[in-house]
Amino acid sequence: MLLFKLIIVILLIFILVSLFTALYYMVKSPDNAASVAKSLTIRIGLSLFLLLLIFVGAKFGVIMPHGFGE
Amino acid sequence: MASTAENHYYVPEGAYWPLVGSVGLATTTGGLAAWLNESSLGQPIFYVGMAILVIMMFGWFGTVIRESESGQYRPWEDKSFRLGMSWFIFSEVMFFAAFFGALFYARVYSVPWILGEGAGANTHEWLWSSFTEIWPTNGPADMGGSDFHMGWWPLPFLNTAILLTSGVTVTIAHHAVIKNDRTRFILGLAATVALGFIFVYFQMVEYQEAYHEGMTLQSGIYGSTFFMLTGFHGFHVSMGAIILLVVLIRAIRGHFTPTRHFAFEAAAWYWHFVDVVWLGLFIFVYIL
Repeated sequence: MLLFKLIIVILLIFILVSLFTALYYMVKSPDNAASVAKSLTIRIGLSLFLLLLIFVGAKFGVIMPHGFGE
Repeated sequence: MASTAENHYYVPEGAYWPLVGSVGLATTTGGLAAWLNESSLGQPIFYVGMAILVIMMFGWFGTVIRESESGQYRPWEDKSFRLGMSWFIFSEVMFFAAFFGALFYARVYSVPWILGEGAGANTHEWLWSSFTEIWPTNGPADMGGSDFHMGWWPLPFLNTAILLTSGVTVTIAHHAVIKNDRTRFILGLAATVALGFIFVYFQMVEYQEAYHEGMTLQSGIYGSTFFMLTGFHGFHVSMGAIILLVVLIRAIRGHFTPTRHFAFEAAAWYWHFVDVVWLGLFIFVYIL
């Protein structure tokens, strides 16, 4: 389903944004330690949510994952 | 004795490590070249070169750690380390962008061209007339074999879960170091390193299965990009786990404070980075 695939890609973009926000804080100043940790916490939280979504989507047939030759 | 920098950049003693590194690199690449040309000495020379490089890293990084722990560094050295990290990450992003780019290019452009789209009509008719529309492709011309199944479940999915769990444990360690909770910091790091190596182990199992079933580096464009992407990712996970192992040993020795822990911060960020690369890989190689 296209909408479901779109949600996966959008979530992946949010994950990338939170990851690179953490990098920005880290490079900018040593005083940002708490902000770095916070951005990375958001990134792992979103990633877990995305994995759960893929699992549910694949198990209930909303998306059809492909494998080589399938 | 090198001077302690109160109001200028820290100037270390002269070091032999750059020379050792150069000799190591020359030996490694020379050995590799000889190995590829089927010289019997090539392989041992390559491994000697690798050993020299490992000794160089051990010695040089150890020197930097000792300088840091003896309080030689001021905010401007700190800034240099942070900028160095950003350039390193830039090169890593470009590296993986190239391989993801190859995957997208093959899927979005090359496969439709071989199927006859656009100016590819003759290509399809005269060169690859048996090529049919499937993704992942086993082609062109069935060179990847025709009966191969490598789904997302169970191993790739569970391995993704293992790597994401290591992302959770490294985040627990991150919050612990800021709160100066040493026990949680060390346990979180140890769990992350262990999960990292478990991930690499299951990747090896997956590769064995793939080769056993007939999907190899030579299985057409998909096999090539699959092994290039996952292989280099696995290499990065191994490096990241070794880096975190060093950070763990330092943590056990009492290094890092709530305000001074850039080595941990950079290693943790790098771990999150390889974690996200895998998530992208899992999604684009197995799911979408």
